[in-house]
Amino acid sequence: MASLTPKTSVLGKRLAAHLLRRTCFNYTKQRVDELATKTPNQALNELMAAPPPLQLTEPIDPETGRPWINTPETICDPDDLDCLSSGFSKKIYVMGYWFNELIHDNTINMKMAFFLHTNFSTSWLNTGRNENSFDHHQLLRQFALGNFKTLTKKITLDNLMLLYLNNHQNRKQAPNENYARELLELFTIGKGPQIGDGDYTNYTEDDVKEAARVLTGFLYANREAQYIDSDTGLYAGRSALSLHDTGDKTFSSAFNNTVITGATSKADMYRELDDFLDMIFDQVETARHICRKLYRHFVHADINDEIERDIIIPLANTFKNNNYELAPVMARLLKSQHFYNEDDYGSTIQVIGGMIKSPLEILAHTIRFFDVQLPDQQTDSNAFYKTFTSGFLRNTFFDLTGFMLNAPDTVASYPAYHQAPQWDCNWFISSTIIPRYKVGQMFTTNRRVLTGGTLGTQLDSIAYIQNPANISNAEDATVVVEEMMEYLFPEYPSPDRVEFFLNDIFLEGLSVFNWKFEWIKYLDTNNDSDVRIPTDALIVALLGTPEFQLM
Amino acid sequence: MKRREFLNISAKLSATPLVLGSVPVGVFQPLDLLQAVDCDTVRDRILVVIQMRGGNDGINTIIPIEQYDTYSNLRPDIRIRQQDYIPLDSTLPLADQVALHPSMTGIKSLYDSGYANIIQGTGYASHNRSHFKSTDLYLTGGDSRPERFNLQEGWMGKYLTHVYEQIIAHPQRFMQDPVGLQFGNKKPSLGFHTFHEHAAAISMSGQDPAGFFTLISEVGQQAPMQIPNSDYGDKLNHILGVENDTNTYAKRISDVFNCGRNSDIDYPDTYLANQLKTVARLMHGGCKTKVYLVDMTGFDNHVNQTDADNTATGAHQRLLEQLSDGVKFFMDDLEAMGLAERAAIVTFSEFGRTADQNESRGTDHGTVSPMFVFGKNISPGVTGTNINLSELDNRAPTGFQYDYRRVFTGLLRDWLGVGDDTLMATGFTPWAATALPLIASQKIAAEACPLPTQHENSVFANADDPHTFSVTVPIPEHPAGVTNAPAMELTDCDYVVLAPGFHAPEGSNLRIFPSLCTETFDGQQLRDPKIEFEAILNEHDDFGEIEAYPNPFIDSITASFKPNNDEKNINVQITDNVGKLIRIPIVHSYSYSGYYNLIFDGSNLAKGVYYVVFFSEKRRKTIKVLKQ
Repeated sequence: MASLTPKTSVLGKRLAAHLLRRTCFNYTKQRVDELATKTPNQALNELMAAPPPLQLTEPIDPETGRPWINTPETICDPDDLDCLSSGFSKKIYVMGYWFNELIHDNTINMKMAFFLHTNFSTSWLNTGRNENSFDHHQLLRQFALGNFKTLTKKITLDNLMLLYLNNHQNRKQAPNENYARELLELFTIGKGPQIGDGDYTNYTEDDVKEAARVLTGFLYANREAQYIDSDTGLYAGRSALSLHDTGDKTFSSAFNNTVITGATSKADMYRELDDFLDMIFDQVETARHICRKLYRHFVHADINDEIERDIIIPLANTFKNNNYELAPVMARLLKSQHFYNEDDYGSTIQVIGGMIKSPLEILAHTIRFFDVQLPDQQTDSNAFYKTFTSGFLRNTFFDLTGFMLNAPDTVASYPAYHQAPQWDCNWFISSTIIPRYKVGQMFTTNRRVLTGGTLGTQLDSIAYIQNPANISNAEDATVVVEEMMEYLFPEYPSPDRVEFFLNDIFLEGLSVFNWKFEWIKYLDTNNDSDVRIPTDALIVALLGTPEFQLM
Repeated sequence: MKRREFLNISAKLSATPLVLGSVPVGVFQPLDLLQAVDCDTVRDRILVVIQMRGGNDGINTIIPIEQYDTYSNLRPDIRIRQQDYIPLDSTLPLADQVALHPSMTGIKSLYDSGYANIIQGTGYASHNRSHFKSTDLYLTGGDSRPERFNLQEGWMGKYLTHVYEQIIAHPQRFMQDPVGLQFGNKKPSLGFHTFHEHAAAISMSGQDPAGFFTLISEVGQQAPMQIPNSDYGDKLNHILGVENDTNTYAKRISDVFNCGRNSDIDYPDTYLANQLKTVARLMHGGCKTKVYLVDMTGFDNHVNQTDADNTATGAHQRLLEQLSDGVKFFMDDLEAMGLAERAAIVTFSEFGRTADQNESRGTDHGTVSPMFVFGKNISPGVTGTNINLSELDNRAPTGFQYDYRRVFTGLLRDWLGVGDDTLMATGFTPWAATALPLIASQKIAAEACPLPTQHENSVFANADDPHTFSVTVPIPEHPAGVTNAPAMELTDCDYVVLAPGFHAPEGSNLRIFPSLCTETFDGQQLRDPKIEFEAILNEHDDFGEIEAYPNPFIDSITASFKPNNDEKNINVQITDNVGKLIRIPIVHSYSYSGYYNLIFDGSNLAKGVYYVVFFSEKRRKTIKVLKQ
């Protein structure tokens, strides 16, 4: 059976690499080697530590070379929705800034923040001011290993969400149920089987309407000091009693016919919201729904009866019993024998290597593993924001791979996280092969595929293999190939596969002595032209494999 | 295998002669004559499915004229004003009369031509108001009943896989294309998903078909040989399968795209129109993909569905205009290219919207919505009557008139000629008896059309090598003379190019290749050959009285030859130095003393070596010439 029993033995390289791939966008050989000597408990203590400081506290405006988040150019009238969704180019800068933060965190925090983004999905594309997107993702980061229930409340009052799902327009006189619906269907309890007209087991159409009433009068607010949430220090939305439906709200039998007493004052609106969230989070199905999402995000897409019984249900109990704190759940899941394929014989899910990487992981692992230096946001802001972020990330790699960071196509998030039954298979389709397989070529040549132009950065293959922390003995061709494959592929490759990359790709039929000779010559002369060609070719080839697509 | 997929040079031969390419070519007689709406015709038909994501507000799309007051009261801020809307058809009974949204002039025009059918009030019982669930239901053929609520496979995928299982990922001469193609949405559609080993559809979303093959051919390398028996191995196999399927079709897609072209119609530059334009061009290039899924999004208008000062403009108007214009231009394009007979178009959206507006000048998730069917061969009209705006449940109309599967089932059966067994495999059997009659009666597929088989016709008798066929080629009467540009018409999208030196006496073995080629001649557009012959006969260098001059040449080159008395036809072609057929115009031709002379305009040719190839059923000769 699948088992949440903790694995207690030392990880070793293979499992350390597995753990790091699944929990960190910042995937490096050095980190794998560090974690390899630890037990899951020790490793998770490190990975689940407080996040390191941000690389940069705010994005830079390439036009001025200075931060700009706290000095917005325009203050919109909150009823001017067109104004509130404008400012396109700087939203891209926020996205690029966030990408840089995601890939440099060496703990699980940013991966969790990304998970939370796939749960509470919003998009910067047509919604909100530049600053709203920035605040929103800072909020997710703060709650990365925090309390999921509290975060749900904060999200409800988050300006980007208030605009994205129209709760800003949800007023007593004119309810708009968009947020209320998705809060139930996607963010918390989830939709069950339809068992009657408008009855989705866990809630009903009438519950959606009542929930919308609870949520009336929570509105978007400009970034003014009075609207700073004292818990988070972030700008949040506001409330207006005059726009709030103060009547009592009666829910269906799915919620035990709970009646939520209408608020009597502005402050009481928050009490009412708490009562409403308590009602939702009292349902064990809420914990299970979120645990299924965690499982799919971190472990495996398929949830069969065995996984539901042995993993999801006990995990959900941990979640609910800990009042929806994320840390205990993540620790239990990631330390489990199941996560390392070490549960009892008969478990039907094999975790390791059984997931297709997202475009974000393809890119982050490439950049971090080969220590590609992105342009400095402060000293080279044009290169970072315009060339790399706008030209490469947005217009090329993310666009072609069907993944726009922080701007999923729907509120249900990117397809891989919601579209059964393909799940992560959604990432690898005929139209995404080219950018995914050409990532190595793009980085080694600093040329973008299809869209033309440069990346603003380049992968230095020689610097990589020359560093003994990466390749223990660069003059030995076999070592170069094997040590890269060991870390880039989820399972150690078979001998014929090593043979192929060594002889056909790296040596191109020449002998290992020839490589040794060339390498020594390079060290003598410092002229890398003869060694760079095969090394680039090797990296291009390894990154363009089916194996590298998997984690 | 009927020869239609192949040498389709038909009985129209004598009617309106055209020339294939710029060179006279030998004329083959049709090997059999076409029948009316037979399987060959049906096999050429395609279905374009337009998915309108977000939940289209059908009530502002198709406005119920007789309920205008009710409508108006429900939607004081977003109602379409009577002076703005487009009354559709005054011949309908009053209760059925509808008006179109003012932006839908294109659809009005299609309706007036008899090319549109509007199916009112489509949906399913207990309509689910979740975007995601209801979208999945529409794509899988599901509904709110438990047994159909979590179907895992798409109906398009199930249909295509059932019919084409043998050839998905294994292209055949009669079907070299992927059976499904998806555009626009970068998320692979659940509608095409099945558990079959190979995907029914290739996604071209965001890709430029012209360069797709070039790029695809640069990636990928030797695959891992040892696939572990594990989830890791399963995923590796998935990836290798996608690689393989894509490789299989990438060249073909690029070829037919580069081969095809659109007519002179100036499509609007919109998301939908760009997709439809690509579909038309692929069709023109010879693509026989059965189902094209194209995408629209943005219909989830909770807020500001119309402008504040004008309900005839705004977000929803822009979408409907995009739909209406996109379809109109697409139909016009197909018509101009002679392809309109082949296409039917159907639209759907995951739900309609609430009957009343919300206070944000928007509408919320509702239930039923209209579907549209377009095409030259459809049965036009308005199917059903207006939904009753006075009977609401949770603000949305209660009743639905037509289960959406009655639309899809009707199209599969009557348009695409899908048989009962396939309908069953698709999961549509329960709706077969009540499938809507959406196809013009004389155009209904008369029978369930199976795949062509390799041996249906004796002309393709060589089963050992699927690329080698035996063909019997009757030699036609000698054309009136080369001075009249010996010509032939090709009646279908399937026909041939004769490669250099083609020579085919009875019983010849010919190798067949997918071909690239598009030509115009005298301003007339020719359809695109899909199959090319390469002669594998030895050259018989026994042309005596034959020459090409001047050599070297600069602008024009003259090919001169004298047929023997028993020769009924001689072909002349120009190739480049690797044997690729070059099409250059013949600027003049004349004959005297038994010699025929063709003057080719080579002024646009690059400098280099070319060959002038002469061949008849008896002999062939190649003359090397140099362009300076």
